[in-house]
Amino acid sequence: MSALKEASRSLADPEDALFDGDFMERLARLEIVAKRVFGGDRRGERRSKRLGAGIEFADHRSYVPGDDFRHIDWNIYGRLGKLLLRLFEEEEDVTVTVLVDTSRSMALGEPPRLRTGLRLAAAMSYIALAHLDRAQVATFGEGIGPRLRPARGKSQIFRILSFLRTVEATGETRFSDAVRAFVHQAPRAGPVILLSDLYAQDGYEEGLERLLHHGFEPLVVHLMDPRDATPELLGDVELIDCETGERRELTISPATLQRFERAYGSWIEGVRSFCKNRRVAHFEADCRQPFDQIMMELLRTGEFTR
Amino acid sequence: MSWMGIDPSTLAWAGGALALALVLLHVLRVRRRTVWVAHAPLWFALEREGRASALMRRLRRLWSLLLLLAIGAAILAALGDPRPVDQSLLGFSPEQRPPVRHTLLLVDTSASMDAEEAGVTRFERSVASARELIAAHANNPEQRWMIASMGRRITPRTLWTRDHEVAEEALAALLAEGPGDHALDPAHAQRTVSSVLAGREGAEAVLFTDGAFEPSATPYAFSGRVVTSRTGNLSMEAFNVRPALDGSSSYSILAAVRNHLDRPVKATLMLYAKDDARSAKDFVSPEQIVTSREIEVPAKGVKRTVMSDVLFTGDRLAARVVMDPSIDAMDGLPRDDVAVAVVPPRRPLRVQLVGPDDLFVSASLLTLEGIDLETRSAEEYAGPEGFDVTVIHRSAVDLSAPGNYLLIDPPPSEELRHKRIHKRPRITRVNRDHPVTRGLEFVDASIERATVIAPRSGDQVLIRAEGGTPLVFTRTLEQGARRLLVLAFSPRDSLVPLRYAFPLMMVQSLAWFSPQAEGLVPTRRTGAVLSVATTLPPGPVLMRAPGEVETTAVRRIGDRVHFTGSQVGIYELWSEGSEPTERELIALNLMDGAESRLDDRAALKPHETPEPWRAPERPWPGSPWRLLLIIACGLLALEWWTWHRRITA
Repeated sequence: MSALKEASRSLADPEDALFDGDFMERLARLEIVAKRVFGGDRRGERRSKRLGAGIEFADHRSYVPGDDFRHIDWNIYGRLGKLLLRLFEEEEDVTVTVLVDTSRSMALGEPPRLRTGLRLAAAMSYIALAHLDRAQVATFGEGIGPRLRPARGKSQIFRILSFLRTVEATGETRFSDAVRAFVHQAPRAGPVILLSDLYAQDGYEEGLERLLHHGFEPLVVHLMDPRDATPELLGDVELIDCETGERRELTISPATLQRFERAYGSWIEGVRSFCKNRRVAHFEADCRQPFDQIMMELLRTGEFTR
Repeated sequence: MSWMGIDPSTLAWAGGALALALVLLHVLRVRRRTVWVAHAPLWFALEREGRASALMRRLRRLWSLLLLLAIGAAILAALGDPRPVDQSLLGFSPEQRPPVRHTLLLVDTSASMDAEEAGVTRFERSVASARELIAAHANNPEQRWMIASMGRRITPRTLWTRDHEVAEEALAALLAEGPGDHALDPAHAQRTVSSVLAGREGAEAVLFTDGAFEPSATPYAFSGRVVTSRTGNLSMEAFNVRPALDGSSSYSILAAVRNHLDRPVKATLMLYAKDDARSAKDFVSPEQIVTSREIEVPAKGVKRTVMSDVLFTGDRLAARVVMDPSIDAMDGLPRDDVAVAVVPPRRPLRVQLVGPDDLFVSASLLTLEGIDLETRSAEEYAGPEGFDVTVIHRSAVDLSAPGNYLLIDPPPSEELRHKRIHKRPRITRVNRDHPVTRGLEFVDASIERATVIAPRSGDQVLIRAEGGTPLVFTRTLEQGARRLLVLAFSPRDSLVPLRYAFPLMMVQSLAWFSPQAEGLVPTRRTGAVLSVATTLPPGPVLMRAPGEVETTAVRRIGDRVHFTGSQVGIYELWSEGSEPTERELIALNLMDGAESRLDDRAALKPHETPEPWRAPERPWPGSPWRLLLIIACGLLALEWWTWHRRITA
């Protein structure tokens, strides 16, 4: 634990000391929630679809030569005279994927949304590693960007943090294309924690549908800046989309602002209802709040960790 | 339509500049801010909704610009103060246009304006009168003033101005300067005034004066406001100084005092000397009095007086006449009571003594101050050229050359024919009125023998012996070209050299011949353009006027300098870079009898003050430009209100 504290100190932002040792210890006691059971490669702490050397009884099957005599259920043999073998559930690990949106829109806001996203990515990765799960971090924009291979063990957090430090906001958001590429490259399904502002040029819906379709369990952390909902704009302005660079001249009056707020509210409501209808965990993170508070609220929901 | 304010051409220029500035400001104002947004599609959807009103928005911007331009035009029009020809059409009562007037105010700054009565000078009363005139017409926007001072010439103090405060300031400056020490020249003023007023509407010139100048035969180009006072005056009419003719270090002073009163007055003439004095104020101090003399000046007449044997040091002298305080009259103009003079420099008297060496003779000559004596024999004698006096002692030399000859016991010659010898002559008569023998007493002369020289017509015998024998006499030949003073006896054959009268007679003889009599330094008048010969080293000439600390450059052409002095006193001139001692002094005096005569005799046409113009009373906002201003302000408020309702970023 002392090594972990040391690492957290070295990686922490010197200004707010976010990843201090105590915080990391609290993270270590949490576990990423996976409502579904996923198959893993190695033994872990999660139930798996496989039957093996676990301690949870799963089923019986007929004895075939070669089976281990120790697993014959002699009680059944005594009552029924049949040689049945006791089967146990195998406990395996799962691969937790953290997908971080690195489009240019993530660079806006004060503080930038990407900063909050990267910190959340680090925190969620550590939670996964602490429970012997595999954690992988991938970025996306117009497609899948730089990514880390799935890794196991707490010591891998150093690698993840180093990776996250190199991430920069660039390009547009093509979420659907990125998910398409991701599901084809992923070796097996598992929880996918999506850290994004959901400002995708092609929408967020198709990408999430595709994840669900391929057996992944998306957990959506919606990185929001309240100023997006109530912008301080008035008068003649030239709006530029920070991702596409598209320009439009607009005269913003109080009435226009009201219309925009209504439109933005309905868009947010659409995100919420989409996630709710598909039983996708959804959390709205206010990036202006201190990160500690964001984490506490995230943990308090119980949909991401337990 | 007539423009009462700024003229239309200026308005056009100002309008162009204002329109350009307004368009520029408008463009800057409607320039869009660039805003980066995270997810523009949400905004773009709104933009599609509002596209239908884009044309209206553009029209609003154009309307805003037009409003701005309209506001600018209205303000400019207000500044131009337009008036319709028939104002009654707009509901305004017809306005009477103020009369256009150009008034040239001339303030007499001659010396007589300094005459004082009851503690107020004529000049102060003139300025006050001018101020009254300006104040009376301050309401007339078409009244233009020009202030000028008038002495020997007219000096403008302002341009034509409608701002009466500018005129007031010029009068205040004039009052601070006061009148000068010069006379008035109405003839010169006539031409200048005509030139200044030519072609101007409502032109007139008013001279504020005391009228103390001679009337002109031709009508004046100006009317007058005469301020005068009942006062008499004593003035210095002439003043000069020259070294005494008797060879002493004393001086002779010539002074003339004029009395402008109807009765004779007693006065005291005081002389002041001071080395570094320049103005009259520098001289007049009890410590610097050299001498004084009581004089009586006849009514309306001049008293001339010569003060001899005046001793003082320095090269500057001043005279001041002071009326006897017991006289019930007033000396109205103090500044003409003082005159200054530059003392001419003394130059050594060049004397040659021809003949055998005689201690009595040579010693007696050397008793004279400032003598340059050369002794030579009869053989060495080459004539009188280069010497002021040639003393010939018992020597036969040529006397035909023009010159001054003092002959002691002369041998017979063409000019001096000997008749006989008069043994033991006894002095019976001495002409004590003659400069040579003035004040001398010859007692026990014991002359052994004297030569009786044949007299000629015109001889003036100064010392005579019994029987009419001339012992000392003067003779003038060739109409003064040769002057002879003859001692018909030898001093060695008498006791005369042992008497104190002998050296005195020798000194007075030389003084009689002396060229110092020509040493008067001319005095000059203030206010006149002077052209004075100078011996200063080549180069620019600087001058320091009386009462001034600063120096001024003087125009020099060849060996003459040209300048005008306005103050009585000593003017110092020197070459730039020369030694401080190498200075020339020039005395300037008022000494103008006409200027010192203080009565009004100019016969000026009195100035008739026109009725002051009064602006008609009109209720506010009676003037069209005020209405325009209100409209402009209304438009401005409207534009501001609409703009800020619509765009506030």
